[in-house]
Amino acid sequence: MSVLLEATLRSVQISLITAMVSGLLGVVLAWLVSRTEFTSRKTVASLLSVPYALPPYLLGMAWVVLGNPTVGILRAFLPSNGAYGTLGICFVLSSVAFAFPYLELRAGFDRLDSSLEEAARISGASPVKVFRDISLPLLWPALVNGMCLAFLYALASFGVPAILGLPVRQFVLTTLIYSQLKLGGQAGLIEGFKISLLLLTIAACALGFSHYLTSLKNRLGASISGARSSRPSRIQLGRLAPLVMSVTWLWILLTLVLPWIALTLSALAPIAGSYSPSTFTLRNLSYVLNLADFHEALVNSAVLSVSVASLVVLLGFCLGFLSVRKKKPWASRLIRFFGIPFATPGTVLAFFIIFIFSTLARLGFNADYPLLLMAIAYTLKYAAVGANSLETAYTQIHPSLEEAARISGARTVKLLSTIWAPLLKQSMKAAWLLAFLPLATELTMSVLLTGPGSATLGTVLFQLQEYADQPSAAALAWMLLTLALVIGLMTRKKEIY
Amino acid sequence: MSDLILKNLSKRFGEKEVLSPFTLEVKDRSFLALLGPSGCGKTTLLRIVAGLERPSGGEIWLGSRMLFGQMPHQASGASSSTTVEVPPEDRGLGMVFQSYAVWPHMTVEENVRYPLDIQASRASKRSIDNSSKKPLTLDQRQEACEKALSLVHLLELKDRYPHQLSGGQQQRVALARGLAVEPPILLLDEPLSNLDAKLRSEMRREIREIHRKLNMTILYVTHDQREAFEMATDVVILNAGAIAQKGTPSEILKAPNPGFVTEFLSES
Repeated sequence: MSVLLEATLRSVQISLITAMVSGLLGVVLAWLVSRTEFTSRKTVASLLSVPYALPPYLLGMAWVVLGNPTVGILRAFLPSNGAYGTLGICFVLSSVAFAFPYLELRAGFDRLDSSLEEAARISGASPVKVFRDISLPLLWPALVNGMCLAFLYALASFGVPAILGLPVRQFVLTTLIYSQLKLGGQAGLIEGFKISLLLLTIAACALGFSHYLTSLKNRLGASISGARSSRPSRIQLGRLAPLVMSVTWLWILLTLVLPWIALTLSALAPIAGSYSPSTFTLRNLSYVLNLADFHEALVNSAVLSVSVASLVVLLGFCLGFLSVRKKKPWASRLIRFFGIPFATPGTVLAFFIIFIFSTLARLGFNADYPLLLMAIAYTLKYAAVGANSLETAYTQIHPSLEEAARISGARTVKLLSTIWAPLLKQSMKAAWLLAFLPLATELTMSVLLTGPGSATLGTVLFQLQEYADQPSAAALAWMLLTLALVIGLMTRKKEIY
Repeated sequence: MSDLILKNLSKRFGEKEVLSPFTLEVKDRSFLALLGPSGCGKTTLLRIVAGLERPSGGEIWLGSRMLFGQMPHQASGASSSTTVEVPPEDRGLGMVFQSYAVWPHMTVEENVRYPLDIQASRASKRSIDNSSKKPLTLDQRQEACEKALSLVHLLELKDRYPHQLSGGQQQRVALARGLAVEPPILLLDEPLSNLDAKLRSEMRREIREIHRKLNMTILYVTHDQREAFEMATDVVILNAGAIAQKGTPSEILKAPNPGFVTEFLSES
């Protein structure tokens, strides 16, 4: 079998398994926290949204520490090649991607008038039957969207299959593009182009298929978003409550706590696999902190992520105003257009940028500034995050607030600065974080676009891991994961009831 | 034979007492209106009867069947007891919600058939405790469904989906669904509050008609005095989680308790 065919099949397989597992986990967890009652429910609910903010390759590295076939802490419980290979990749991706269907369905349950479900219970249906006959058909679009996002996420992922797949020579499409480009030259570029088109086609098919699945049952669309009645009556789990509680906490332990502990131990260990407290050392941490590449990466990542996140939010603020309030069709079309680079796998996006600029270079127009290319790639990829969330925010505020200011004599600039900016502050903050968090540790696009003097946190980490300097890599990964966890825990959605 | 008895029932949400302990007996086949301003606890009371909220204390009896309460152990005397809490799906009641709660993904007929089909499949499995009834055959279910639909004058619209119906028609679907299995008690939670005045008076007449024809107990929550006094055989006026007055409509209108009830009745 050719490498390309094998990588294609593996990509599709991994994405399908991840989408299925994520969908199943998302449905069960969302239903449990939205509709049942058990001790610590609120804590579980808000902790489950934290993985969303974590760079998956950090979890991948943690699972290398836990599941290395020779020195891994948990190797006794894992199959022969430990966390490496397709299964490990699927597990690590699912431990993040389940958040897509989970969050979609949580929002769905919140919008769903709970008396629809209560009416079925009064009719004699057991909780399981209510879920099958009422909740699931009504939340079907949310589930399909969530699973489609998980599929695209797994298909586009680069870091996890690189860390857990390349050591056992298992390629997926994104890592294959990367290795083709590393070969360099015209042949690699053409090969990369072909694979990129293939990857893009699969992503488009997945989107089309999910669109078809949601349109099947869309006659109910409008009627479920009606007014919520009272707060939902929660199902008492009775004897099952302790079981549900332990299983949900086990999942949180496995996906959040254990990876952090693994990276902590590994960061403190003098060599990989030696985890006795007497030999713990801070040498790895201080080595990384004194690394020149690290200083360069810290500055680059900070500057890039802060400026691109701010740019994207500002762009969304202006475009949202033009589209929602000024009814400019070009503005809403541009916002829709941003959905394309957003759905495009980062590897493909970065590849096309390289392709365009290398073509330009051959025409005598030299623009070999890796940081600039990264800024362009980041902006294209995340423009949709700012534009979509701010467009929604504009539509949620009653136009009379603006009209009152207009009648008081405010012109556009005054209107934006004194009315809309303060009103949309919370949405802008949220959108900024949604762009900043993934960009600060971005790997997929950076690893292709990087060059001398343009290291980022993601690429430095990837290099340390690739050159098998595992203790240093673990030290850096530990710092980033700790930071991401702290930000994720601080900004997690609070549960109201 | 199946009076609904609420004994020392109370409900707290955290610190807040929504219903202070009270006792209420609803005679079989009566039409009891729970009347009161918003926030007086009337909807909470209805949801407790339905099994959608758990009371903080007290007992609920439907005839000789305990729906909620502490059942003392027969063997070991009064010292120990087990909590009885029949889940809503096992209480065998009917309910009409304020928001209609008509399932948007099912036709009118499918909505009304749903409780009938469930009852049939459960009766055939003998999972329900008072399943002395034989499971209804397909024909009998079809008949019951059509009977309920014609009671609310919706038989011609049975193949429509809810979004093709007006608000008043959706309300009728909800009513037919609640009636379909002819439950011993039908619970109605402000069923007419989303309808316009003309439809409201029409529906008041029809609900009274249905009560007369089917001879079931009706528990009707409303903030509208007119609905309560026009339809009900008994009225309970609630204020801040406590019963302010109970009696037949004429008793209350003739001699309203001084204070809250007099004031409440003089409004509007």
